[in-house]
Amino acid sequence: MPDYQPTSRKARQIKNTLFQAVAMTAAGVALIVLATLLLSIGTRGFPRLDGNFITDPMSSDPHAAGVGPALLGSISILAVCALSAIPLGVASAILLEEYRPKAKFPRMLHGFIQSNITNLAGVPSIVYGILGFSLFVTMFSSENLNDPWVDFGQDFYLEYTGAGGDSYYVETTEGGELTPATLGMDVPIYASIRDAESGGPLADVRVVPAGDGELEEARRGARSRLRKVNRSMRSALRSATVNGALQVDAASAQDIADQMLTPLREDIKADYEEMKSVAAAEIAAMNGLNATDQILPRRQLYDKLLDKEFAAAGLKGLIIEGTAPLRKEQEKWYYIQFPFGKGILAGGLTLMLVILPVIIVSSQESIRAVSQEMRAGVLALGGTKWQAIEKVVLPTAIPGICTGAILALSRAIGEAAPILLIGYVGLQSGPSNLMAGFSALPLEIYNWTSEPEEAFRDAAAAGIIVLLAVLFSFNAVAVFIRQKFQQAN
Amino acid sequence: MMPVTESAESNLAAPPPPTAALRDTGPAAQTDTLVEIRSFNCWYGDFQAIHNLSMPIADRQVTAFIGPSGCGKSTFLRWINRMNDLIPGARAEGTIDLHGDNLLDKGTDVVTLRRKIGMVFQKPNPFPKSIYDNIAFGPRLHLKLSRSETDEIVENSLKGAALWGEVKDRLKDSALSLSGGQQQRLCIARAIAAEPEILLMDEPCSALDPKSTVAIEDLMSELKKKYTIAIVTHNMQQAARASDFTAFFFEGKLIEFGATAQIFTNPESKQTEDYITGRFG
Amino acid sequence: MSSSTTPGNGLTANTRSALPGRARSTLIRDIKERLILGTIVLCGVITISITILILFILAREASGFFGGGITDVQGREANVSLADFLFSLEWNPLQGSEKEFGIWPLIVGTFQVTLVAMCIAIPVGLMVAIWLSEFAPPKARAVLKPLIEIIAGVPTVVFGYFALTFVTPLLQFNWWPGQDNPFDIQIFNVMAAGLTVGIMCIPIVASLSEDALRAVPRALREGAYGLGSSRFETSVKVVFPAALSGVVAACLLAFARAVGETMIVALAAGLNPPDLASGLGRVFELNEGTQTMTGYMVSVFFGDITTQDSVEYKSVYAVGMTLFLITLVITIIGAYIRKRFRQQYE
Repeated sequence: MPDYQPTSRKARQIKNTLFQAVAMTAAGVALIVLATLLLSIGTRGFPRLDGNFITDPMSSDPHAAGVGPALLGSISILAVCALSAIPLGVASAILLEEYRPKAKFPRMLHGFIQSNITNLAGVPSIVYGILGFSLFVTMFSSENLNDPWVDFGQDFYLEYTGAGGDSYYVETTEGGELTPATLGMDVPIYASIRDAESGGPLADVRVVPAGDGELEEARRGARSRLRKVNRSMRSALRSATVNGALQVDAASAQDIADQMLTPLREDIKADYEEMKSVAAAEIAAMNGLNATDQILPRRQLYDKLLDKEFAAAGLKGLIIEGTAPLRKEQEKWYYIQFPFGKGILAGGLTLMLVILPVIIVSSQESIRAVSQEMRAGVLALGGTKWQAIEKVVLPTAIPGICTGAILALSRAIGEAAPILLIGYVGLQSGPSNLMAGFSALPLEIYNWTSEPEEAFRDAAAAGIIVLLAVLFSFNAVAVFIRQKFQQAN
Repeated sequence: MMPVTESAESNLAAPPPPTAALRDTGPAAQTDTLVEIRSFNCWYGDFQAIHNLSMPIADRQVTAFIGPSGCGKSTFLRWINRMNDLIPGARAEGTIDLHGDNLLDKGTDVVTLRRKIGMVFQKPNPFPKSIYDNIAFGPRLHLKLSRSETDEIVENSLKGAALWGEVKDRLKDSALSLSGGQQQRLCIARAIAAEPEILLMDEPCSALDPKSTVAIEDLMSELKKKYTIAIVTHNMQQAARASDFTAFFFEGKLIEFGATAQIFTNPESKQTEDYITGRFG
Repeated sequence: MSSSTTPGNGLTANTRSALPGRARSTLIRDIKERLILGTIVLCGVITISITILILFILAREASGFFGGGITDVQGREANVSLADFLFSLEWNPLQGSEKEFGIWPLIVGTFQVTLVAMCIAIPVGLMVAIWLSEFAPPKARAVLKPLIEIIAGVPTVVFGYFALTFVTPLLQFNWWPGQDNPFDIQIFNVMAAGLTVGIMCIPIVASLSEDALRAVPRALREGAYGLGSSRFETSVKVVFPAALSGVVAACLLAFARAVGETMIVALAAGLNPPDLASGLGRVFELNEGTQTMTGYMVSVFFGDITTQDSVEYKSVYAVGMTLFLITLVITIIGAYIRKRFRQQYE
């Protein structure tokens, strides 16, 4: 055996110790940085954090500003996000895992979709922001606002849910002109119409549900005669729309009025020319409005025309049909319009885009972890494929699916980038319906941090504490679920 | 139904027709054929796993499939209840006749089929549910049952699998808390709870300790009073102890089929003899 | 067993069952399963069309940016060609009379921040990973590993706050009284943004690399120890190479995250991408501010650009498409490395 030179045992030992020291230092440094991060936020944030901070609205005074609306906004978009992303994600995971195609072409498609989803999980969230904006807020940009189906969304709502709701007959007990608008948003059973300037009583009105008999017949007749006007008005206005906004002057407004009233000419009892002049004036006033902003003026014009027809039919009072209830409906949480605009629905669905790939991938992993023997067990007992999924695979995979979903949601709640373009900052109140604009915690934190004033940064630190508290409680729930199910099995 | 043909003669130079073997058996007088396999071939993709197999499976007897790894015995077993349908690229030709139906027909309702032909797997695979819910799983899939009816089925099945005494006080416990041998008996109980006619066992004892193996073998001799059993095993002693008929597979072909006593004492084929004497495999 | 069973009826005749109860309807079962499967397929198709739609929308909107036919916010005709976008070194989209849309300054700005970040994240992250997997006592690991995962979930806007209110002042601090800080660190600078992005990426590198290191089977370690290796030699010469594909994939993932990181750079890096036209030396001035692709998108979102048909607005989609393609390439490389070079251990 040749005389090999041995390596120095001592040098090897030193290297070993040194390396361990360096590695441990790295871990230590990482921990110190984390501690610094928490400390720098805690020292500035905690003094600012009190009960009011959680509930107060945003304010231009940094010492009075709170995160109330932002917190509500975050919760709302998270709810939309969870309700859309979890069912879609889990169903897609089941489809991709359990119903793998056998034929060649579908298998290739399956592989393409699978890698597409995996790759989408790595796309920066701000890219989803601009996608969500295109897809949900504007539905492929503003010029398409006059697409028939977009219009359908708005008008279906107006005609069938709002206007078709309750109808009221308002009987004037004294003179004075009444319009639906003067009644305000709520229609009480008894109301006093007051003069806008002096504040004195103009008339007392009694609002009663539409009655029966002759009066009711006259009302119904007038209304059915006017029914066509909504549709003809819409198409007439659409023809005068350029680049999403209505373009009219006095002359073309006359034409449009003529166009929209022509179908009624033979039927109506009111004076056609008078109706036309009313319509032309209202339409001229709508110049420049986009389709969404036209909703209310259009509705009011319809009401005015209806009034004329009622008067011609011999009705002395005022019948309010739908207008007031409609405006109340607009505040209900389920009010929906197309396109969605900058609101809760668009924000939540955009966050869904961000976490959908994450939920799919984690659910797939949980489903894959259920052993094939379990599935074979069900099939061997004469169960169908779906019974195997429903009764054995899903119950076994559910802890993993839940943990994955919760972690994805905790990511969603902290995301600012995708909703920068969709949310607002500095709102005074939380969202009231699915279409309402919203603010969110990360947005408010970003906004405050970018303010140069130090007091705002304290508020930002307090906001961060609230955000982290929400986040850590999510994580705690995930850990709890994981441990609970691990013990159970 | 295929009653044993009285006219079949033994001691021919050629290998006896498969059904004739049943007549030679002798251990019991009543050896009707329940399942008749004729010219069975099957493939995984381009690879032919089994070549031209013909054999009977006797009613309420234990039939053992032996042979070295990869000889096709498990594949064949899994074709009897069409579990291989799940494997991409697997296909089969020929006839597996049960009550006049070819189980390999395209139109066969595999769900009903598997209800009639229960299966016990190599590794115990209790569902992560309670013992009670495991047993009730199959019946609940197929039947609308009241509480007391379910109780009755669970009790009978556990008794049938000789597990009742051990678990009757903890039916609500997770099935995963049982030992391996108990889990496998649970799986047998689960399979017989659906009242199958045939019970397929794919190396049911390979993951178990000797004591549990004995328990399962004892159970098999009890179960065959009611069920037809087909078992794949690596363990030749097990085949010799527990089965009435034995089929020896080698490289995708059925080399020999006959009464267990005859195969183990006086095999006709050299390959069979080499295998059972431990010269290979 | 009776031999009277009718042939052809073998499966439906329940020859032996002694079970109580009424049979469940297979018809109802089949209908139910069809419905459920239909719902699942519908959900799946929605998801899948979303994932494909994403590619389509991005391409469609980005293509609207090129080739003219649109105006800027002041109403002037804008005509940006793809060649300008890809090859011009000037980027001046918002102010001034002459608008320039060359993407390179933004790409360089992005990589300035990303490279600083990787210089922090990869060494520290790998060290933490090796320590956790090879050296740490089990108790320390049981605490640290979940902690790292929680840090990985901290929103990036929090790190952005940290960058602007802590890291930047720290860099600007006068360590030697009476003497100015020699580095002339600006309020918005590459260094603070890069360092903080790096800190944000440490848990990603550490956690995923640690997973890869732990996945190396014990037998391999025992083999190395059995030959008389020290812990250092085992971990660096045996375990680390065996886990290399996973480690590289982890680093690439962190890299992609750094490239796409938005809130930190929006808060700490400023609004001015390096002026490449005036010389490449500007690239190395880490004390100065910069702007990344994501930072530009945020500045448009938070600015006054509301006209959706304007060229400024459309430029966001072109930049977004570029960002998307860059991260896609990184992700695909990562997936390829993980797949191609993975050692399969049983």
